[in-house]
Amino acid sequence: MKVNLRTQINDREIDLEIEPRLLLSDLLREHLNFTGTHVGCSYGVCGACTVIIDGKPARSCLTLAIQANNCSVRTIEGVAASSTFDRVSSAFHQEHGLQCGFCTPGIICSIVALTESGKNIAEEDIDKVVDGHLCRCTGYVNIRKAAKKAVGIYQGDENAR
Amino acid sequence: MLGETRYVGSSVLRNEDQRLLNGNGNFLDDIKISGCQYIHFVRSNIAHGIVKSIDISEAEKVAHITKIYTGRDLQGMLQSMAPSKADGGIFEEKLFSTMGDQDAFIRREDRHPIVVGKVRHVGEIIAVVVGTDPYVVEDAAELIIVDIEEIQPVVDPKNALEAESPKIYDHWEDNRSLHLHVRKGDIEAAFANAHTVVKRTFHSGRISASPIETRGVIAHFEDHNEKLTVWSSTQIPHPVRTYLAHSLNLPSSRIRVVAPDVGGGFGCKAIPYPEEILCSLISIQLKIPVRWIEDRLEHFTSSIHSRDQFHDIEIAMDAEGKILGLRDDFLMDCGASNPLGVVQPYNTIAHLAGCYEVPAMDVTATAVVTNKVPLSPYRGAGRPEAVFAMDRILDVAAQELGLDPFDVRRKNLVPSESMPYSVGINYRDGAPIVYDSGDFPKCFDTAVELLQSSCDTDRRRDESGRYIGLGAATYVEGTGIGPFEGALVRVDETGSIHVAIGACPQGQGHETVFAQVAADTLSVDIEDVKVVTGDTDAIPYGWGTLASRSAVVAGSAVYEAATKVLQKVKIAVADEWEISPDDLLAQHGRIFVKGTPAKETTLEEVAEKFSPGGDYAQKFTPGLEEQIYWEPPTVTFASGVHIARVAVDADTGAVEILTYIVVHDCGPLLNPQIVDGQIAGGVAKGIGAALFEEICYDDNGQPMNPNLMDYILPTNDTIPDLLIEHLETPSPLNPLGIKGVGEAGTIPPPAAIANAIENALTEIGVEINKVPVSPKYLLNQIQKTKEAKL
Repeated sequence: MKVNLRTQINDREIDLEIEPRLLLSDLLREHLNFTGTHVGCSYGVCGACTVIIDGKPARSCLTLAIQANNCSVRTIEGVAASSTFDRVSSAFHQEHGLQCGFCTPGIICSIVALTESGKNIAEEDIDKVVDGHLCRCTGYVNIRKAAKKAVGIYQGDENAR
Repeated sequence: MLGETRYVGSSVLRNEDQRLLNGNGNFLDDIKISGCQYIHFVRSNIAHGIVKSIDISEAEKVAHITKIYTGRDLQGMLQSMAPSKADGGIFEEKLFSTMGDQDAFIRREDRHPIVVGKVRHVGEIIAVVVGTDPYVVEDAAELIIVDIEEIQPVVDPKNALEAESPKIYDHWEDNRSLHLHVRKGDIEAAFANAHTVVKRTFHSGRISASPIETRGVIAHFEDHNEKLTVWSSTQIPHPVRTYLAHSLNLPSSRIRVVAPDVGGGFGCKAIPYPEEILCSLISIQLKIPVRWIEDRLEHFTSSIHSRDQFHDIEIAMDAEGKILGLRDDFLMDCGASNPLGVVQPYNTIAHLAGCYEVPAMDVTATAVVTNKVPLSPYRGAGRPEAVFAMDRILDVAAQELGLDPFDVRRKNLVPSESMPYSVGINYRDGAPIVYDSGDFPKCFDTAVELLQSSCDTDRRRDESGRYIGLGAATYVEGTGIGPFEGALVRVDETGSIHVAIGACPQGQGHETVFAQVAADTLSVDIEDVKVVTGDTDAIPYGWGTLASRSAVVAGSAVYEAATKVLQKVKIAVADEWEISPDDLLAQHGRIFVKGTPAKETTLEEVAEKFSPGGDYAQKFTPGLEEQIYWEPPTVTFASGVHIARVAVDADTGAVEILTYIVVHDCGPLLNPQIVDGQIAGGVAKGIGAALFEEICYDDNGQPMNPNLMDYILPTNDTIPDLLIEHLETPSPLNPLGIKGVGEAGTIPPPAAIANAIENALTEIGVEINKVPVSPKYLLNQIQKTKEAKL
């Protein structure tokens, strides 16, 4: 039995017959080739698969594709085309906020969602967002710096060129 | 040595970032090949037993299933994964010949990539399901009925040594897989003359590397040209190629192994794995591309684990707190096999004395096999265990002597005037250990100054009643081990610089750092340099990125190859202009006569003349390229000091790290920002090992926490900002004067943090004998101490 999925992914209208058990992460990666969404644990702990659904960050590995019916989904590929992305990505680049880069797209999606929420962002908000992602390379120090720089509450390391 | 540098020594921003930030990274699972089928491995859920039958009849009927294989089907088509020079065995012969102990031995079993007969740990591969749908291969796997006759499992490594213990390998006389013994000085006299002797047992728990990207393999055998291409999330593409060639009986020239973007490795991707062989074999058999992506449960039950050493360590001190002698007898639980042999246990032996002068030592290592996942080096590789034993016993000894542990440490450091310092034992490459460079006292003093300027060191309680304590640990690290790494440097006819190296990155920034080295050596713009890594077709020989070695070994290779390219340029141009090559200067891609800049050519023009058929090609060898394999004489020693300041809640057992100080000496920094990033990542792993991470098995050999909810990785809220300073004493052992940094941060945190916790709880009198110091362990120790006092 297949079900019909109508959704918007990165501004693209999707109309597909899918298996009800298909995960959103697999729909994105295997069917639509949005491979920037990474799967690290497949049970919602690591946060690498985070995408933005209707403006809010969500674990795509814990979301059935059909749950995104009539929603608007943005993956890192969609986020990368947005105006907020440049500021966030250049902060991560300048502050060495990524090493292997596998967890990075999920973190960027969470930060971008926070930035776009319209909320007045304090340091604790950034910490809370980063708390929800596992990174095994950076030790988080530079992720915190980068995220704070991206939202304008940290000036950064002037030694970097 | 490099002359004028524009890039080396600067925090050049990374070339690899753009694609990783915008989702265009090319990780293993992002590679899509048309017609590729999915592989799912059926793994043993029993720790120890004999496979009696495997019933695949129902599974075979499932739609979309192409083929199911068991061990019996594949047995005849494979050589076993016999230990070879590709996996660290290269130094073993030399090491054993220099150890001088008749009882020393290593037993290494031929691992079969798929179970035939006996199962030795939960997670071993029993059957392989191939199909066209990733969900359906898992459905079918659930229909396979595996009947295993259970044998009593061997779980406790101490029990494994007992005569009545069941044996993991029936043809072995016992469960010992390795025994090493190293001595120096007069140990009996040292203990006989001691003012104080203390002895303790320290356990470094079993942990998992847990990169956020798990392992994965895509194998594609193309029948038309009989070429096997294997993409693997590995740290060692060249050794994997060697393994595949032997196992599959293929010429290695018909195999290409590619490590694409790799999402973290930390050692767990630094051995060849059964899955690489099985996927390749099945692609050859079925003549289709196949893929396998490890899931997180598989990572915990089939990717190597690490640490798991029990040290019985004893130290002899004089009344002033000087070390007279050290005895250590340690046991390593290496799980069902010991893929890298002596690497981890011998690293522990070689680094045990660390920064300290130890006149006499006697160290014995025994490894046993048990029914757990095999043990192999993970970031730190035997050194955190050594430092945990050594720097803990020093604190215990200081307490016994009534001395300050910081003072005792300082007093025993190898003095700077003793450099280079001969330790008196050999490294695992068989060469005598010589600390080639460094200034341990200066490192230590710098760390203490940083501590004093950053916090109130006299404060013992905080406003909520938590106990505050300080702990230090020091370390040396042999880095940049051989046998070699290669670099191919080519200037193409457009003037663009192509650099190919065998060492492949998993986040360390190779595309940036080696471009810095090449650009400065050739004096070109860094934008003109492109670094290619992780492809066995790009350079014929290679080793890999592990053991804090790439900057040293591959960096030296890039420097030497680029230097030779520049020599070639100068010789050819000088010949044409009828001057001496020494009169030529290379700057920013231009070649000109010193003092006469008007007479010039460009690297691009020179490269064109070197193209086959060109003017220079006729006279010299065609192609403006050089390939170098750089072999280090032995390791070069990095060193450092960590200090932790912690707050301990004695009611909950929670530990918070308030201040964390790192002073580190890896020689001149190629890219300071990347070096600091390596240290920060390493320290976070060290904090994980100190406080959170441990894989637990029950008495049946079942892993009790093989998931990221119960196996606790450090999160953002548990890692403080670090205070990092560098000493940059150059190494005399390589042309750039550098020492490795990849593992350093991971080495001392368990010791420094455990020392700090113990120091915080002085009032209660708690002793810390193992890591991780989980809240449960700490509360137990507090309870035990209180009860003992009643």
